[in-house]
Amino acid sequence: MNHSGFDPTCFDDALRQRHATAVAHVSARTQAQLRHRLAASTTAPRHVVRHRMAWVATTACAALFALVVGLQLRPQPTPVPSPATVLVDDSQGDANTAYASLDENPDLYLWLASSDAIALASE
Amino acid sequence: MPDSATTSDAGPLPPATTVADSLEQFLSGIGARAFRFAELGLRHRDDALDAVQEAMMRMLGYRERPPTEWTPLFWSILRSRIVDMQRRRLFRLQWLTPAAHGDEDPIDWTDDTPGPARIHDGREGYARMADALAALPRRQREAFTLRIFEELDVATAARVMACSEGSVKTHLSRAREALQRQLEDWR
Repeated sequence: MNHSGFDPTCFDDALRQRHATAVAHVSARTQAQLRHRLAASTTAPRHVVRHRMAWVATTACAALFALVVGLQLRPQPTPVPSPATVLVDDSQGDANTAYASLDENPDLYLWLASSDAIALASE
Repeated sequence: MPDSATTSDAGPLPPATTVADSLEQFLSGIGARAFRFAELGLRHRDDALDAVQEAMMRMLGYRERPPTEWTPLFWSILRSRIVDMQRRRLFRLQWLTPAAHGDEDPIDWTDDTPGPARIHDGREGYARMADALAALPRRQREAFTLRIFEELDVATAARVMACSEGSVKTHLSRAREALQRQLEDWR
């Protein structure tokens, strides 16, 4: 679909020449702003890195402080007797109590010797 | 694809910029061209300056890359920034400020050249070309400006535009056809 008499190279050159003229005629104000923004761009990453390091340090300090406070506020474990010992003691205590109650209660033996107990046993 | 595109795209063009010694020197040298590129895409001076500055700031993160990669990297970053700003502006214009950018003169031009007639001719000619480029679809405008104005070769332009080399050639030929129709007297 080539147009007759159309030379793409000449056409491209004409447009390229217009563009080159435009590049050469960027206003002084814009050129100054480009220089200023380039300078700002080259210094910005250092600020970013510095700010990032400050944030990391602040975060680390805050985390360390929170850890220390958390450790301080954690309830201290109290010494508790071992459950096995308690159980053994309780069982022994209960048995002794039962035997002692039998030894110390004469009513049981009086009842066993009574006629009520013999009647109950014979039923 | 027309023959004109294939003949014009056959050989690699010389690079538009030489390898700079430092990244700051590279960015300083490419600033005006980057501004014109952003201005063509955004049609707003301050937005174009913002896009260029953001691209420069991001480019500093690639300081460790070899200098030969700076050119495609920078144009790729700048193109992405322009696309982002175009999308943001589309949302803003549709929903928030429909009348924004209405009275803004899209062409920045210096006035310190002697001869008002020459100033007018140069500015009017570029403004007409910018209007014709603005009427193109975005990909066609990118292909044309990167290949013809920035003189990137096809492979580099494809890398910048994140597409295949064939797509670049197709976009370029369609852009050239459209521009040729709009700028009939420039042929």
